[in-house]
Amino acid sequence: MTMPRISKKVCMVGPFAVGKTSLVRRFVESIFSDKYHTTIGVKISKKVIDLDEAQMQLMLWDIEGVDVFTDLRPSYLRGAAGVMIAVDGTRPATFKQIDRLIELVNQQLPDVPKVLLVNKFDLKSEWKLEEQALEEYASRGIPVFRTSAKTGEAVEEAFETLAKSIV
Amino acid sequence: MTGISAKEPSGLTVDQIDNAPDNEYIRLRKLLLGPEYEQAIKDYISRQSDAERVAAVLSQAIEAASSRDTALGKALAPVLNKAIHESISRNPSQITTVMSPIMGPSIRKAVATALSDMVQSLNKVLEQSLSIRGLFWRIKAWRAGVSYGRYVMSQTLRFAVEQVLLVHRETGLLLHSVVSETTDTKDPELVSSMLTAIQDFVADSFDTASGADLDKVQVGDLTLHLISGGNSVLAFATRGTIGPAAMEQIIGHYETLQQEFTEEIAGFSGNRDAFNGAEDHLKSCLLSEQLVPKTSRQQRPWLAIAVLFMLGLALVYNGYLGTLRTLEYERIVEALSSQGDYMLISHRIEDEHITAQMLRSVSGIPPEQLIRNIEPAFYDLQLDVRALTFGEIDVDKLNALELPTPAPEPTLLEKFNALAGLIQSQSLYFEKGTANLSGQSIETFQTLVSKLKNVSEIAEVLKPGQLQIMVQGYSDRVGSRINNLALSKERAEHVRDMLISNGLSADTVIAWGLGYRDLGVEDLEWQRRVAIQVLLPGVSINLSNSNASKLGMQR
Ligand SMILES: Nc1nc2c(ncn2[C@@H]2O[C@H](COP(=O)(O)OP(=O)(O)OP(=O)(O)O)[C@@H](O)[C@H]2O)c(=O)[nH]1
Ligand SMILES: [Mg+2]
Repeated sequence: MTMPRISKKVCMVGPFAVGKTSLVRRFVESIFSDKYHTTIGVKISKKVIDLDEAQMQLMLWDIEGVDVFTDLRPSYLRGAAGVMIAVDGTRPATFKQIDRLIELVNQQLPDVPKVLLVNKFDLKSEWKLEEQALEEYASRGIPVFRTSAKTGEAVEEAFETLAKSIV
Repeated sequence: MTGISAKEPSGLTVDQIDNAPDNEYIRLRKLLLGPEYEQAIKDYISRQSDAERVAAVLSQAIEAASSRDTALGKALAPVLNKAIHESISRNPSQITTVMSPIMGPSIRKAVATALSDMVQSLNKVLEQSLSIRGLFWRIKAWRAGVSYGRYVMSQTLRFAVEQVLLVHRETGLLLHSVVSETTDTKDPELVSSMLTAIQDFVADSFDTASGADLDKVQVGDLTLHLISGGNSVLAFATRGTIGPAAMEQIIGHYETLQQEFTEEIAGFSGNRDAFNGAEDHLKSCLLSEQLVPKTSRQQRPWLAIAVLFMLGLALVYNGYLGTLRTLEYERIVEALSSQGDYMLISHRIEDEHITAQMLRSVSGIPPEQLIRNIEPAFYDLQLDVRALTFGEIDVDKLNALELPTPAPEPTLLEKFNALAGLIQSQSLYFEKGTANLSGQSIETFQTLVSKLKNVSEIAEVLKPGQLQIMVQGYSDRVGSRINNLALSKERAEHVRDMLISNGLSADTVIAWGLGYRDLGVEDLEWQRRVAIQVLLPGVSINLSNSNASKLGMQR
């Protein structure tokens, strides 16, 4: 049994139905489904990735989406080395959650590397985005990716960027 | 020759055999044996059925076979097992009623010898499955509602630790793990992360002060024990019931490990190589214990009989109720911990009350139904249940299942039509010869503005940017056509400007004058007015209101 030398916990957070589970599944299993199965609690998957010098085992915590009934349970974040915040490009209401989520994450994990995923890029004709607002996150050190769990666009790139920033 | 219609095994009657020219052998037999042969066959066939004939020699045959080797026993074992199982489950009281007279003192001596022989030979050939102990277990297993196999396992193998995980408390990451040789490995990394998540969930969900720390999780046949020690957790999976001595041993190994790796655990940042040295400590935790039979294999049959006798007595007499209570308690706990959609966190018994803390997955049956299914007879069972699923649920199914159907809300289109009808039914009236609103119409105007704003919002959702508010001005019949046309236009434009200055979009409001129109209403005051109509292309406006005709809309 060869164990990768380094093991890290990464959390995926965001409003409900933005595609968090789909993004993780795309990254881990390279598949996508149109069906919506909402996550309750947390679903954990594992993926080993090759970085330049070493292998890294990522334990990916796909956390239930936040909505009016469920807020982010801080204990799920504990010990995470990186956090992905996902929103839905077709639902402007989900952008409004970004700042609050960043704050929640920072309370629990000050200075933890983060990336912002604006998902469903395959539907970009329906996107209602203020590009300028996104640039602002990038300038605050949170890389922004326009991803599609459906086509796989920018998914690998996003995970790798986060992995590199937490080595 | 007498005609005997009975058949020989060959399928021919004796006459036919007699006449069969080729059957030399049969003819020879007849010559040698003479008329006695015929008589013998006649007697033999008429006297006994096949079953009776087999029955006559069955016991000797069994005896002979079982004294030769164990093949018969082996062949019979599953049949007997099934029969006993069937019989007990069909009529549980039968076993007690059957046992007590057999054991009754008057006939005890008579049956004792027979029984002792039986027990001895059965013990020999059927091994454990039909020993007195096996029978006893079978009854216990049946009472406790668990499978016989599981019960036997729990009695013969006291316990075995199959897998040991050392988990980093904060991240849930696996530091190191070992498995016993006989175990097929599950993914230990995922197990350790899941455990941490569940532990956190339990700590969050239940008041930790109430002592509901998760220290055990039942996963099918396995029990996962969790020992928390500062920055790490030792998780180990056992089959069977682990005793306090073994538990202490494991805790001891864990404490040594913690001391040796204090720094590595505290400073852990993902590098697991540092914990390769923990392998030996973890391996020492892979304990197992075989249950040693209390008496030797050649136990005297009377001992077994005595046990059976005692059991019978216990069941029938005084001990019966007490035994049932204990068994029921065991059964309830067992049932609670083997629910697929529930996880038993802790349970407590006080007098007649059993209280259990449980986690329930979304797909689980409601707690009340769980209690009903368990049917507690002697205890009052209370469940403290929190929802939990780690996984996913189908949103379509969830919608179909759980959400109560809300009171039907009017659709946007219905709202739009209702408002449009109201707007069209409220005209604005003017003073004679001017474009000044009459006193009452100033109020009407305000309500119209709010309704128009409302309608614009709805229209924005239905068909963004396509609403048209049409303001139509009229005059009374007095005066010239040209003047009336100009005055009606002036009234309409005045209303349009007022609407725009009250916040309605200039793009949507269109105004024009129609002069005097004969709509069959003689009232001059009524004739001097402005009517407003809202239109959304492609959306039908349902003017059920009879005012529509009075309004003189010409479409
Ligand atoms: N077109 C498109 N649909 C997507 C994409 N990603 C996810 N979806 C769909 O969006 C729905 C929700 O996806 P999930 O991955 O379950 O969303 P989630 O964020 O995990 O949802 P919760 O667990 O309820 O918080 C599903 O129907 C997906 O098929 C994407 O990139 N493009
Ligand atoms: Mg999900």
